[in-house]
Amino acid sequence: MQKIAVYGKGGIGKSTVTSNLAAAMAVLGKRVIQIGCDPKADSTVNLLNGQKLMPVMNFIREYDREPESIEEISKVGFGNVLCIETGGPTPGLGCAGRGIITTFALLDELELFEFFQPDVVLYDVLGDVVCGGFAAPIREGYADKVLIVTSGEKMALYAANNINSAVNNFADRNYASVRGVVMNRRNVEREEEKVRAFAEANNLEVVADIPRSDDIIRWEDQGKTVVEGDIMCEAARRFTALAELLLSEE
Amino acid sequence: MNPVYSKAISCYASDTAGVCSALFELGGMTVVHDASGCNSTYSTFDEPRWYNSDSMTYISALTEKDVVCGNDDKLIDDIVRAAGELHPAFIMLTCSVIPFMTGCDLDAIAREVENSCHVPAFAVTLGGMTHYTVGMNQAYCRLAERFLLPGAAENKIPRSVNILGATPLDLPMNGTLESLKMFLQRNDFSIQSIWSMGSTLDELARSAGAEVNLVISSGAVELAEYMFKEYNIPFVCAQPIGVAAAERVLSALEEAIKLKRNTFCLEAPPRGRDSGKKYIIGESVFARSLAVALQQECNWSCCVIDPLAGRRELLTADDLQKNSETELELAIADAELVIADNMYEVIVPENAQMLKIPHTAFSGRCYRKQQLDLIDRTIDWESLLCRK
Repeated sequence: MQKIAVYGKGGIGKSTVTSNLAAAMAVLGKRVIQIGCDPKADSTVNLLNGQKLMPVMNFIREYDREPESIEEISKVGFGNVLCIETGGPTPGLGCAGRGIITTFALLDELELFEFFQPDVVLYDVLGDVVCGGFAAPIREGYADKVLIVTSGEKMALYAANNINSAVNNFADRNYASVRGVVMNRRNVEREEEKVRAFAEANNLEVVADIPRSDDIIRWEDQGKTVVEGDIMCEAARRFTALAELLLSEE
Repeated sequence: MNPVYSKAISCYASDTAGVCSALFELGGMTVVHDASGCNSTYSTFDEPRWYNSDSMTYISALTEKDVVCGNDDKLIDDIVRAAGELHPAFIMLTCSVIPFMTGCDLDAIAREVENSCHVPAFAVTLGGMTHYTVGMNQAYCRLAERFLLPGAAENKIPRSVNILGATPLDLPMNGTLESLKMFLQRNDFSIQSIWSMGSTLDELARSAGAEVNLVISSGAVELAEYMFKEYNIPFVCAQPIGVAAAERVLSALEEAIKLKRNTFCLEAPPRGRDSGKKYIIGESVFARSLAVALQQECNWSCCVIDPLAGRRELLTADDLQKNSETELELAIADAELVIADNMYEVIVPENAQMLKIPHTAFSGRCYRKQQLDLIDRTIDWESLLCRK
């Protein structure tokens, strides 16, 4: 089983990358779970035809009890990808990081992996490794690889650098290691040069180059990933190539 | 929904206290990641050994700044420095509710500690919100995973037994452990190890050489299951209370060796009619063994009530599990007799009799002088009922 966490600056396209990767892996015949680790709880929406699902924290808040089955807090999306969202506390209250830890503990109790027997688990994590909770997906037993999504924009690269440093700081802890950089283009000036310079400076590989694509936007407007919508278009082929690369490392 | 808090009765020692007690005399450092001054909570109030023996139970002196800043390095440095001076056999990390809630990764910290000082280090991440039996189980399992010598299993000693779950939280420090040892030795069993009073870590490490495990507290059931899975050592969960239960324990141990069969729960067939409602509230292995003794010796049919949310297999189908004062009070509302720690007296119905059996994990030092050694002896139960 491969477990991969996707990190990157807020708004950089982590959910787009993660859900297209999930869809591509599913098309390649793999059983995939995608876990959105963001209070916004919109990671999996494009695998679910635009439908929202009940996030774990929202379930706990609404019913004042813990879920008793995986079915209560998941939906099956495109390619039979099992979709789960951690959700978060009431906005402005509680602790979102703790929410991720609580959700992971619950999923362990519900024996998610034993129940679903996935080939791949993808964690789509909010922004930066801001505290212990948001580092939970890279702890031992969870993700073993990290993908950092960035464009050539200054703040995206700044966040990418912070994420890489944070993961490196945990080298003694048997946490996940950074597998590579996903360049999600915004068509800024000298974008490729900047991203590759960052990758080279940190001994990282650019594992995918996702073009700025109207296809992605068009299919997301319809609640789908571009892999589901038009698997032969250039953007979808790039996601498929990334999926094939990662699966070849099993 | 019934509330799970108590308004009048005490509460049981916490999971963290269970870890500290289980490891108290094994030569390891136990570090509780918590605010300064909290050692009393875990080791002083419930731990009679604290006053007359050395211990290496420490509190990390966690501050608000440490919590907010995530100063794991400070904790690691402190432990490594202390280990350099104390040379512990192992380092066990656990924590209070504060690091638990902030998601402190104790397993990772333990790994860093071990990498730095080359002393076996491991962690149990608890929050002080569950019972001592949870902490005991987890501490014992981590220790067993790390220290049990598989080679010992190749030279099984006939009729050798490990006693699992011996801590002062459950076992009165009044000769009860000696009585237990004498009971086994008198019946031609040799004691391989005692988890965890009176045995060294080296002796515990050779536990796989035993033919059978006697589990005397629900705080060691998971250890017994681990040893059964890894070394095929069957187990019996019971205490040889009185004369009748002692005989039942003996035959269960012999059957366990012969048939490789585990006994989670001692049962005794009813000997006659007993219409009165009698309840025993307490730790399930002790309470169930007491129920068997009373059934056989007095013809009292007792319903055991486990207030520790323990394993259901340790009880009979008629026994109950109640985890709040409100639920307990309702359950014993029709009682004619309640057998429990003294601090349950406030919820015993006015017209019911009470047999008080102090339990350190519930009432600490308060009634220690009234604690009884009930192991393998003739007991005048009627006269105990008259005891104040």
